[in-house]
Amino acid sequence: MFCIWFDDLEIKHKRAIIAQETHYDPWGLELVGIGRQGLNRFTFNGQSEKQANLADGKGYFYETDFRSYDATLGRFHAYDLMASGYSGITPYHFALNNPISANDPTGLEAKDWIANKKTGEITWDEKVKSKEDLAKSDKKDTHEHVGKTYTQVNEKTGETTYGDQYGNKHNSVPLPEITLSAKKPSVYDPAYHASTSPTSGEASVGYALIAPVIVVTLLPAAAAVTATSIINAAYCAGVWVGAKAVQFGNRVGSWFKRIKKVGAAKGGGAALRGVDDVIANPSLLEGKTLSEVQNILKNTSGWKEGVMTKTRSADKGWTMHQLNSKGTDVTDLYIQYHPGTHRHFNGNPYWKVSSGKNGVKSFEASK
Amino acid sequence: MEIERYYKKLIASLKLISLNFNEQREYFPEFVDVPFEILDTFEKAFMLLPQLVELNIITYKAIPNLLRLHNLVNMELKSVDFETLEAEKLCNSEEWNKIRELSKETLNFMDEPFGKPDNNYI
Repeated sequence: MFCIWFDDLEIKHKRAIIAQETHYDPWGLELVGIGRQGLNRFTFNGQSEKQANLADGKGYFYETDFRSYDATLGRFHAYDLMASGYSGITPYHFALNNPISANDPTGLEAKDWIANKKTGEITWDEKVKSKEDLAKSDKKDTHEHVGKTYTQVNEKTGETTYGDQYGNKHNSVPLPEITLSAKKPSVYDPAYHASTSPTSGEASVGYALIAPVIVVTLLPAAAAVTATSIINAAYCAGVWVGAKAVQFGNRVGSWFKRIKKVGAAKGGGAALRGVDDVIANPSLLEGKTLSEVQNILKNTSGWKEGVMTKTRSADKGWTMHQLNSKGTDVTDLYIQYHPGTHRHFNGNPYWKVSSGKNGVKSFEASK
Repeated sequence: MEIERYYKKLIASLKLISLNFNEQREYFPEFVDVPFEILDTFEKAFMLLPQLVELNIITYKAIPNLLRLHNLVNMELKSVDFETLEAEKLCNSEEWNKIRELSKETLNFMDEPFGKPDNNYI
């Protein structure tokens, strides 16, 4: 592998300004109390346009490609054009009445991505609309269910592939948690002024964006980053990536795809709020004490806490493993606190984080 | 996908165990307990083994050796010397060399070449 070593490098990802934030229940009903209202109407499912209810002007519905959808009822207003394939269910259903595991962004039909177990190749399957469909198909032994969308990072090249809900593959990743709209801040904010201003074209389709800002500075500590860590840092910030930021993401991907991680990258500035933050940005644990981290991560659903029982020392450390959906196996995601032994580094404790495709990283802890 | 990554983690951990101590320590930062991390890398990969066996990814011939390695690694982690011996002395002991040999044999059974482990999976 071709390696570039940077002796004095730090990359900071500054949060952009959030002008609109929309939260939903699984059916798409807005949770207004915890959101922030804005002018963007293309919200639920990314491309469903929110419309006022013409009857009383109070409610709303979403306009999809094929039908309008009422999130209050959890039903489409019009008959399903694909209803012949779903004889056992109302033709007005949304996502097979199961919006937790299925989706229907167009109002037509929900299909899924599946992965070849041996080769890892991910393909769009017209016949698979759920995990149950795959279990009944002739591909059940050779393939595993992926979902409506997926993101894959090539470990060798650093290139990212995103499969959307329409069966298209892209070489960039949308970040769907928060929608940003352009709004000039009332006070000077370097994050806003250093970014590219949204163009009128973007504003006309409802995606007015402020691109995230990357600042590269020189530091005394040796550090380097991978393309995936940058992408994860962006995920952490919860920024919607539109046209500009997709270009940005591609640039970052190609820029860093030849750079190999050589040490502990410094924290990206994101807060430690839960286990997802640690997995996305393991360096958040650097310098943290065991109790600090335990207070935040304890009782995380789907994760099992334990101690490093195999060592003989009195302080047995602490581990946290992610369990699979059945709760029968661990995945390769874990967080571990080593209490230290006399033979290394003055017996100081350290953290180890395995974040799956982003590999395993260690950081010094505080006692 | 995950399963492919699990397999690569197992192979990388076996390759790591097979190396001599001077090569092994190169894979870890200076502030960690290297002997523990070498063994723990294998133990973490071993926890993923049921999912690999279930999909017939591991050859039948390699499974007994993987179980033996798991037992030997556990015995080392629990040994009275583990916390007290210096890293170099510990990792060049007869027991560790036995573990190295067994690991090489397991790689052979799995038709995997010896050599440097992929740092992305350790």
